[in-house]
This record gives sequence, C-alpha cells and structure tokens, in this order.
Amino acid sequence: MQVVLLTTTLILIVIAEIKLWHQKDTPKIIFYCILMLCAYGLSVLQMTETTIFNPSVLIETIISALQNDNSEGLR
Amino acid sequence: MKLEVLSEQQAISLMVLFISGSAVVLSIGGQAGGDIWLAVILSGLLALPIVTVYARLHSLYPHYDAFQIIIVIFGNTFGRLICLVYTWFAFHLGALVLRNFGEFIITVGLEETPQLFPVTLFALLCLWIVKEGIEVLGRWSNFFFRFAIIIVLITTALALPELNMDHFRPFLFNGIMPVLQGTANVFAFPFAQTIVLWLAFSGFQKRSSPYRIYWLGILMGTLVILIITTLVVAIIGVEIYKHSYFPAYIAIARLNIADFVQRLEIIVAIMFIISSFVKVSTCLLATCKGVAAITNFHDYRFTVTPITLLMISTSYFLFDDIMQMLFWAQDIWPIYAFPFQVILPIIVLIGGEYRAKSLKKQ
Repeated sequence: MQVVLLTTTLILIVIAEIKLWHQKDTPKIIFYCILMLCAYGLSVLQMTETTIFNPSVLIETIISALQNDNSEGLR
Repeated sequence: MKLEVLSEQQAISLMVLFISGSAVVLSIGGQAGGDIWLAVILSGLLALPIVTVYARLHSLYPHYDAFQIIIVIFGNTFGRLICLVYTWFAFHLGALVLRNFGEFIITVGLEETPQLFPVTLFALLCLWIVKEGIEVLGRWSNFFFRFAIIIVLITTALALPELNMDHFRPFLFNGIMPVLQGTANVFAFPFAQTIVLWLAFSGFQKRSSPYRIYWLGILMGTLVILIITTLVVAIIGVEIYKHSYFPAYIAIARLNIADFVQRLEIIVAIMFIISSFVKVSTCLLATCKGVAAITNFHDYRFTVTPITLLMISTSYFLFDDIMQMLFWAQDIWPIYAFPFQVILPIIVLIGGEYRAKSLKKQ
C-alpha cells in the first residue's frame, strides 16, 4: 500500500513539473528521470526497511580504523 | 546562466542563520566544560582565516560560482571530481540537519508522529525556496534575521535571574587540552561548515566586499553561539549540558518569572526551525548546483525535486537512533569534515592563485 502511495505521489510530482517536458531538452529529461528513479528506489528501500549501504556506518568504520581503535563507538 | 547576486546584508543574515542552524539546540563543545565560552571564541577566531580563503576566491573570480571556479582552476576531469566530493559533502550535511530536525520534533513534541512526516513537510518548503533561487533565500534570511536577534535578546534578558556563574569557575580547571578539544569540535560544527555557503553563493552586488561579508558573518555568528552556549551552561550547568540531547530546550524550559512568564522553550524551537530551514535550503542549493556543474547543465532548478526526495530518504536511514546521531555529531564529524572544510579549500586557493597569475601573464 505504502509503495503504491509513493508511486502515485512521484507520478504527480513529475506531472507537476510539466514545464520541464515543454523545454524538449532530452538530456535534461533523461537525467531528471534517472534522479527520480534513484529517489523512488531509495524511498522503497526505506519503507520496506531494507538494510542497504549506510554512509554513516562506513565513515565511522574508516575513522575508527584510522585511529587504530577497534571499539564500535556507542553501538 | 544568470548570476544570482546577494546584497551584503542578505549574505550576512544568511551566514549568521546558517551558523546558528542545529548548533542552537545540540550540545557543542561540551569537552571544554566550564571553559566553553573560551572554546567558542577560539573556534570563531580559527574560522576567520578559513573564510578568508573563500573571500579571496570570490575576489579572484568574481563572475563565477564556487563549482565553476573549481572547474576553471583544475580543469574538466579533476575539477569535476572535486565538485563531486563537495556535492556529496553538501548533500550529506543537508541530510544530517534534516535528521536533527526530525529527531528534535519527535523528541520534544510530536512523540507518536512518524519522523518522516515533519521531515517531508519541512523539506518540501526547502524545495520551494531553492527553486525560487538564492536571491529569495537571501531576502527571507534578511527578514527573519531580525526575529532571530530579537529572540536571542529577549531570552537573554529573561534568563538573567536564573544565571549561575559558578558553573564557569574555576577557570581552566582541567588545563588547556579540554578547551582545545572543545575548540576543534565547535570549529568543525558549525563554523567551518560555512564552506557550503561558499558553494551556494553565486556572487555579490557590485559594491559588496566578500571579505567584509565573511568576516562579519563569522563574528556575528560567533556572538550568537557564544550567547546561547554561555546562557545554557550558566542555567543548567556543564554536566547536564554535556549529557542532554537538546540542552538549550531544557535550559529555557526552566525559566519561570513570577509564575506568569513560563513555557518559553517554544522560543528555542522557533529559532531552531528558522535557522535549520536556512541551513537545509543552503545545503540543498549547493548540492543541486554541484550536480548541475558536474553534469554540465546550465540550470540547477530541474534537479531540486529528486535531490530533495533523495535527501529525505538518506536522512531517514543515516542513524539508528538519537544517541548515534549525537555521537556522530560530536566524535565523528570533526574528523570526517576536516579534509572538506580545511584541506580542500586551501588546495583550491593555492590552485586559484597560481591559475590567476598564469592567466594575467597571458
């Protein structure tokens, strides 16, 4: 249900940005669609609570390794 | 592409509100203990040479924005790579501030509301103002800057009877090291984050001096942060300041004047919402400009909607809980942000000076 809602919202947003389509600038439209698909994919992963790449954890691990510290912070 | 310019007053207002950002409510520089005021002053002074680097780059290349400057200096490939690094930094900072906002709302107010709901509404407003451009953001900041100053002054005046200056004594009790740690912490968050402002600014009006804008912005920002942190520590003491999630909110909630003036913590919430709106919008603007520069598009506006949605999703899965968020802000951020905030700007300045000299010779 949540995913259906999200899809509908995103389609509405794309329609709302109709000005973009009037410009007939193909590279711009393609890039816009790619970004929108990324946003959609990320939102679906977030809604389904799928564990994916987390930049905070990665950065934390790298910094801990650089500091030669094996502790995992608060976690 | 039309260069959007700001007046001196608008740029300074934007800078002060950006610096205030989440630093208004989160605990910063707690390591310095009772000498936190010294840590804030030192970090403000430390930020001056860094912002001078941005001002120098603006005056060397007055008709370009930051991403164009980087591409002009380092060429197409390496320049775009640096742009990519800075775009990530602005995007990540925006997501972090959005998360701070979400945690603040669900911790102090709407406990049962899903965090995504206030964050999405807030981000949609940021989307709107970024689509309107930096000139509108500048005018908005200039207007709300007055409210922010009035809020700080009123809060200070009302808090006077509650202040306990013993919290600051004895001076340098634990030596200079904790003060230096606190200085590094406050320097990284929020002062050196002004790099994102450099990325977002396109240019200034003809008579404006970038040096005056950056210096005055940092000095006024330091004053605001100094007043807020000193006030909070003087009311609740160092230990509660260090160990609470939102110390300013707790401190101002304690104010009670003759049982008549009370529940003033809403003032802190208003101040936080105003300043974090400016901060998220600036980060979003810088990210969109970065994406447009990397992909060689002349207009950044069409990327704002998808990038805002990406930022909302990223802010959601950055941290498991508020404890991890605060640990990150205090212990990880200063180390992670150092290359973006200090090393890269100095490299860009060296490259910029060299490039400007070689262009003059030609």
